[in-house]
Amino acid sequence: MNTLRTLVARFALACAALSAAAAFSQDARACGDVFIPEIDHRIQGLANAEKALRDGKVAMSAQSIVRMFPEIRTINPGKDGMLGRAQRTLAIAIVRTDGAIDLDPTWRAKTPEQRAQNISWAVSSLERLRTQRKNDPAVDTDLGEALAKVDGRQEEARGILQSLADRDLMATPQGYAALGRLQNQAGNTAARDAAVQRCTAMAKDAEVCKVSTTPGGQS
Amino acid sequence: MVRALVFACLAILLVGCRKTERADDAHPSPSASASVAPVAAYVDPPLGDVQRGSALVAKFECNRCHSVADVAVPALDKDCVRCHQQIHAGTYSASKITLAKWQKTIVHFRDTPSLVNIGGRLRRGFIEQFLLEPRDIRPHMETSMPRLEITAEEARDMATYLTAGSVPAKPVSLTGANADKGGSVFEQKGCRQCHEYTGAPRAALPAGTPAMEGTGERRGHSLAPDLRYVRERMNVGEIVRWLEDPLAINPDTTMPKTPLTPDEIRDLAAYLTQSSLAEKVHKPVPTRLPVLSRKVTYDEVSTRVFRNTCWHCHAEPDYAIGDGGPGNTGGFGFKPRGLNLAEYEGIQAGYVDDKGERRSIFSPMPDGTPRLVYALMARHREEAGQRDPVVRGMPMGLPSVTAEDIQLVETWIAQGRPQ
Repeated sequence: MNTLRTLVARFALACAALSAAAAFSQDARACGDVFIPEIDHRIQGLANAEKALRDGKVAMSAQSIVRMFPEIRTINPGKDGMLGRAQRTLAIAIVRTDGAIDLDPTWRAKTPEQRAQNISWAVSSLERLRTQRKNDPAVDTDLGEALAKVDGRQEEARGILQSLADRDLMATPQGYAALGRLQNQAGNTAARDAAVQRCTAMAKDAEVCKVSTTPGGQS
Repeated sequence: MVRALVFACLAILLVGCRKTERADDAHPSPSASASVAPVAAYVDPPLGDVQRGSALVAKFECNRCHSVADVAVPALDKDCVRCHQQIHAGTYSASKITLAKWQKTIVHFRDTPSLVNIGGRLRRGFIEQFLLEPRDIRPHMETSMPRLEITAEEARDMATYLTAGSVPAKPVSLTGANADKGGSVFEQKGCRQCHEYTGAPRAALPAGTPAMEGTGERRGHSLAPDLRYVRERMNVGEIVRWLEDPLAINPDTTMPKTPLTPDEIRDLAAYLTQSSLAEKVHKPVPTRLPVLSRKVTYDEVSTRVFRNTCWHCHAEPDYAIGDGGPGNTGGFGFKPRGLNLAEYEGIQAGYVDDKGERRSIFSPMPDGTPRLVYALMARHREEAGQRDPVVRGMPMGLPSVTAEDIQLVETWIAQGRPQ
């Protein structure tokens, strides 16, 4: 009898908690404030992580994402926009460090294999995002930047990024930098220089635009 | 600081430009060579299709801003006006601190005219024309009707639907009515507390009567139309019926029932429909300012323009702001354009054109102006009565962005859109 009572009490408590959560989430959504959300502190945290990524504080950005969304490495965000953005931010952070973000004992980046595995996760995440957000140059830019780090897929990356550049739809300076490197490897110096020039104009820190001018070389 | 600047800009728009207009209009030129004659006899246009009109009212989502008879109110996160009203009333479900913050910043979409029994007030032909060519007829309301993507046939169907079932007023003759007396009644009864009547002759206030211009309560002042448009909008019978008892025609109106004799009502109707009007003084289109020589970063242009104005209609739907806005996920009859102006990456990623192709918002128009700058300038031209045939002015339905802020955007683009 006691067990039954306990179960009923737990059920009632769970229902109350769910109702409260639903009520709160409505408050946060409706007419919400994009910068200072009413309830879900992760929205502001995610905005900060995205800004940190833009500002070049890549490791800090990745770590804050994992702190806020510990499940982010194993889930499929589906249509949950916030989780999708969080996963995209982590994926890009990993790409920009060549996979060298050592997060915790379950996510290491000490060996070349571990780093390659991390890049592979980032590419998979961005590819999944691309299937959900077709015809979105921001996603295409991120994926192109990621694929540029994967042996055997660099031609694909060059195609994606050059197409964006031709239409003036490249979403980030890092996308232009990746294109510059790929065009340098392909021996297209004019296309390389044009990409580097656009990157330099856009980037907060021109360091991200450094591209080797050695024929076929990488920066 | 930024907020102060925004308010200053809005104040300039409201007070600077319109005060000049009011000053000019209050004392029409004695030469009056440009005076506007009373309009010719009005004839209703052919009727449209009520059923199609009903479907179009749903398609264009009129209920997101207006009360419409027999049309349900939308969900709160799509109902800009109700949401803002709840915030200002303190009934919106949020903490007091958040409400206080929002109450300070929300100035738009607080009041919009009700469309309930609109056919009992306005001419069907006026509604049809207004849907095609909306104009700012409420000088104290910052929000204005957006220019919809609508055909002449659709406008006719919608006007027919919106006015269906309304009982027309009995025709009234103004023979013997005195417009000059009506002008005196207008001043004595304090109509100027809320209304402007630009371009019309103005009677002197009786000795000892305090000037009440602009002293009406906020909502009434905001909703009150400039009465120079009455002769286009209403028939004389409807004007008389409205003046007799506004609340009987529109229970939601802020217009009070004013004690008036039948003769005073007819004199007022004559003043409103027969007075000579000076030409409308349009707001001037500002000169496009040259690009700045100093560095302009994304943070600055975002704070001043993108995240101050644009993101309300062009944002990501997944970011705690409802559906992303009509300029991203679609709405008000507009197709989804996929344009996110809330983030750097989104701004670079452009919009979806009519063919479904992505295009840069910085691509040059035929005159070389970046499309974004062109759209911002087009809004100034719209406010000056010049409709652009190619691009809708932005921000749609809101006051234009100042010339100084457009200069900032243009400088940022010219510098390569730096982060």
